[in-house]
Parts: sequence; C-alpha cells; structure tokens
Amino acid sequence: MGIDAFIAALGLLADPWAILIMLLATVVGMIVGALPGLGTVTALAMILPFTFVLTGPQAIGLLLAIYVSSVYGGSIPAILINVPGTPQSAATTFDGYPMAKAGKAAEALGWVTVASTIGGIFSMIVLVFAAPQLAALAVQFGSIETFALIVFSLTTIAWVSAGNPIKGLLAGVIGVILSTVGVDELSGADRFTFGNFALSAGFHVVPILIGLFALSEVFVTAGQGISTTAKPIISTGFKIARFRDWWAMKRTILRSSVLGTFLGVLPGVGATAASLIGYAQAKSASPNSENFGKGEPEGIVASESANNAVTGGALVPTLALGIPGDAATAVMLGALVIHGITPGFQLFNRNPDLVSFIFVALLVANIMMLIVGAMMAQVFSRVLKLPHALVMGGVVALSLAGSYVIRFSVLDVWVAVMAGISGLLLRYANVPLAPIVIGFILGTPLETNLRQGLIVTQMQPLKFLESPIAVGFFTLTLIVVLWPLLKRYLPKRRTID
Amino acid sequence: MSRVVNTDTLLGAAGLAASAVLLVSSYRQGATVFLLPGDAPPFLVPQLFLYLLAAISVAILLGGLRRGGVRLDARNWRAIGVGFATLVAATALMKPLGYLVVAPVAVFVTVLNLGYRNLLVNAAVSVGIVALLYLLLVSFAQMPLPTVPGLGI
Repeated sequence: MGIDAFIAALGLLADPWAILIMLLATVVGMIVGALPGLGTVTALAMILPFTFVLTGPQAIGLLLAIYVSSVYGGSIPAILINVPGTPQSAATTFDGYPMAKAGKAAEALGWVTVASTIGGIFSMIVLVFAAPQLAALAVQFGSIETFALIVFSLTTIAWVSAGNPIKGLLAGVIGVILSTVGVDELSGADRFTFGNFALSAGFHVVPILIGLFALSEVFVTAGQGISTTAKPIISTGFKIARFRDWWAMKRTILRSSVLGTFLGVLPGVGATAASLIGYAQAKSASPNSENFGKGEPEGIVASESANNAVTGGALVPTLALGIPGDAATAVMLGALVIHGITPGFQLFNRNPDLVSFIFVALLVANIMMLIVGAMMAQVFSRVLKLPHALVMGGVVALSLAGSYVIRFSVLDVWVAVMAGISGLLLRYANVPLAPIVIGFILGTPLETNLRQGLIVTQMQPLKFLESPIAVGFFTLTLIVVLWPLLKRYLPKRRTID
Repeated sequence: MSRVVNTDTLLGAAGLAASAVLLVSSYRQGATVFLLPGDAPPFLVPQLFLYLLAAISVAILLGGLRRGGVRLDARNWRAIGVGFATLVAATALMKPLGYLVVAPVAVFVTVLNLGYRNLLVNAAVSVGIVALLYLLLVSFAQMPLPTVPGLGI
C-alpha cells in the first residue's frame, strides 16, 4: 500500500458518519458475540440489510467492525460465565473462567482484549502485503483455472469444516443448487421456478443467512427449552497487565498470531480450530504448562490472539481471489458484491483506494475493539444478564424486517422462515450450515466459469486438464477428499511395521 | 420401524426425494430451451450437482440404515411447532395487517413460547423492539415496511 493510497483511505475514513457507524457496529458486534447462541455470521446477516442505505466505504467499515468485534465478544461470557459466546472462544474458557473465579476477571478481560487486538492487527499487516501478491498471481487465471480454484475451495471448506465430511459436502452441494434457482443469465431459461414469477429473480443470500443462522437458533432454543437457573456472573472490571508481563508473552503472541493468520488463509479451517491449536501449541511450549487450565494468562493470550488473527488471514483469499475462507468472510464477500464491489485482481487494479480503505478500516476496527472493550467491559457483563427469551424475541423482529427490506418482497420472508426450519432440521442431523452459504455464494461464479470454460474448449471438459494451474487445483482437491481414507490407512501400516 | 428411523435415514431419504423431483423438473424445463451450437446447456450445473446430491444422499441413507436403531433425540417438538406456526402466521399476515401490528404479536408469542413468564416486560419489550426497528428502518434508513391498513404506518 503506497503512501498516496493510505492518505486516500484516511480521507474516506475522515467521514464522521463512517467513524460513528464503525463505533456503533463495534458495540453491536461485541454484544451479539457475547450472547451465547448468536455469533459472527448471525451478527453479519442481521446487520446486512442496514448497509443498503450506506455508501460502499461506510458499509465495509460497518461489516469489518462487526466481524472483528463479534469474534472478540465471544470471549466475554467465556471468562465470566464459562460459556463461550461463539465457538471461536471455546479455548478461552480453559483459563479465563478459572482466572475469573480466582477474582481476576478484570485482568482476564485485559489480557483477552489486548491479545485480540494484537492478533487482529498482525493479521491486518499480513493482509496488506499478501493480498496484492495473491491478486497479482490471479491475473493468470482464466475461467478454467477459476473453476478449478472454486472446486478446490468449496470441497475443502465442506470437507474440513464439518465433523462428518460427507455431510459437509452435502451442505455445499445444497448451497450450489440453491444458487441456480431463477432465470439463467446466459440462456434466459427459467430454472426451478415452478411457474412462480417471484422466483425468477432467484434467492437472495440475506434471507437464507437470516433463516439458517438467526431463525434456526430461535427454533433450537425452543426445542431445548431455556434454563431458568441463570449462571452466576462474576463481577468484573478491566485491567491491563504491566508491559513487563506482556513482554514475557511475546513468543506466545507471535506464534498464535502467525498460526491464526495462516489458518485463516486456508479455506475452511476457521477461528475455532485456530484458537484451539494456538492454545495447544502454547501449552506444549510453555515452561508453565502445568498451570494451563488453572487460570494461566498465557492460555488466554494464545487462544485469543490466534482467533482474532484469523480475521485478516481469511480476508486474504476473499479480497484477492473472491474465495471466502469461512462463513463469515462468505457473508462479507456477498455484502461486497451487493454493494457493487467485485473482489479479485480487478479490485486491486482499478480501485486501489478502496482496497487501502479496507486495510485501514480493519486497523481502525481493531483499535476500536480495544477502546470499546476497555471502556465497556462492565456493560457487557450486564448484557449477559438479559433473559435469553427476550434476546430471541429481538432476533425474530429483526429477521422479519431484515428479510423483507432486501427486495421489499414477502417471498424473502417466506424464504427466511423456510431456511430457518430447514436449518433446525439440518442441525439436528449434524449437517454444518456454513458450507450451504459458501456454496450459495460460490455457486454463481462456479457455474459461470464452468460454462465459459466449456464454450472455450468446445464442450470438451478433458481439455481443462491442459491447464497446469487447473491440474494443480484438481490434484489438491483429490488429496483433500482422499485424505481421511489415507489417514485411516497410514496408522494401520505403522502398526503392522 | 424404530430400527431404521434416525436422522441419517431421514436426511438421506429427503435428499434423495428432493434430488429426484428437481432432476425431473430440470429435464422437463431443459427440453423446452433452444440452444445454439457450442452453447453450454443451462441445466448442466444444476443437474451435475443434483446427481451429486442424490449420490451423497444414498451414501447417508445407507449409512443410516446400517447404523440403525438410533433413537431420535427427545426434543420439545411442541415448542418448535408453535414457534414455526407463529412465524408462518406472521409472514402470511405481514402484508395485509402491516409490520407494526404483526411483529409485536410474533415477538410476544415467541418470547412466551420460549418460557418467559413476565407478561408485562414481554409486552413492553415486544412493542419497544419493533417500534425501535421501525424507526431505524423506515424513518432513518428510508426502507419501507408493510403498512397498517388505514393508518399508513
């Protein structure tokens, strides 16, 4: 990022509305992240309709602030009530809650907030350097190579993100099929509309997101019933450790930040795995490993710097290639496209100011997270006392309005309700929901590139294998698919040997 | 019957049925499309993925049948049914009655259905949240929601 682009980006951020919107989004993101059951994707999905009245930079700032702060917000209940607000903060409960029980909740929140900020800023710096390089590489990609890349990404996300790879793949396939509903842009043919004119425009991503993530959570809560015995919330405050103590953690922070950023770049791995791996690595490398699980600050720092480092890492392929690394960045990608911004090489080539703005906005979002987290830790502990049923009521009101205003169509509200009940049933059947969204968002580029590739090769798909880049991606896809089988085979061989 | 019914057999059967229905529909609609020589057919990708869906569904179904004997977890299906019916009714009535009438009722019933028994707080929160959202979306963001007949709001 050149100095001119940096100044131009600061100019875009000089808009007081943009700063105010980001500040509000930081607070909202932290609250939604802190409420168990909701999470980053739900927060992004519910806020997306509000971005329609904003300018592109304002919308990007809002979504980035929500993205970053909701990941952090999940750590607050992890420390105060031993329940992670988001899965990404599961590892934070191991040492965060024991610290809080020992009367060190304020210290624990201080460690978490600063570690999250450092992890986030580290990954932002990597994003600044890596994304343009990756985008430059993507110039060599034609439709065949792009198709192969999407197949690789989609398969990896579906295969890796689920406990059961077959069900992950099922979810990805459902997403792609949903994306094909409506009038085909190339031929003008109606697809799966069943004579319903309203379906000709196809499904919109927002009602699907609202249904799958927000409304399905309401149904899940109804199915489980809400416990009337509230978990005791440990009174809190905010205290940052001395610089000397932070310096002693430098290796852990650096290791976790590198790990989180790297895992963020990889499709499908995500922040949950990053925080757990960061925690495990810190435990194995620490001289205080016996204190892990008993309230060791190093454990909190390891997991939180890793999960927040994923944010910048996951944006690398999203911005450079238009391929999201996880469900949250898939929503971000969908939002960018809605605002007329198409990620990829052209974005870096034609709109460098906007790219620089994204980098600067990510930095500002991380700094806001630090400030808001420090000032409002006490408030967030009160948010946790809100009855869950009332929170779910708010989700219903927001879902009904949010899905309607997308295209001012009741059909979209029906889609959200149906996606909600389908999401519930799929969750009961242990089918992950994130690959559905990613499949839906990648479905259109996958189809367009495949068909363009077929037209170029005169309907001979085997000619796709003449592209070395495509062969590389297809080989990687095969390795990913066959890896579970190979893994099962390898230990057996060792045992026999 | 209880030996074969589990989430995997249900999921596999549903996936297989959906893929069959959509495949039939795609072949019917595809037959009516005129294609220029060298054009990629519009149903190519949907059909490819529907066959993949069918194959995955069969694998899940067979896995479920082989596993067998797994009971569906006990859930509060009544509460889920009430929640779903509330949203269906709210969606159906949103256009004729308006968001400001339907949404507070839907929120109130949802909260009650989730076990919150303080009716006064529930009513206040239901009306308050909806009014706040209405102000934000309609007055601030200029995004209209279905209006209440006769009132224009």
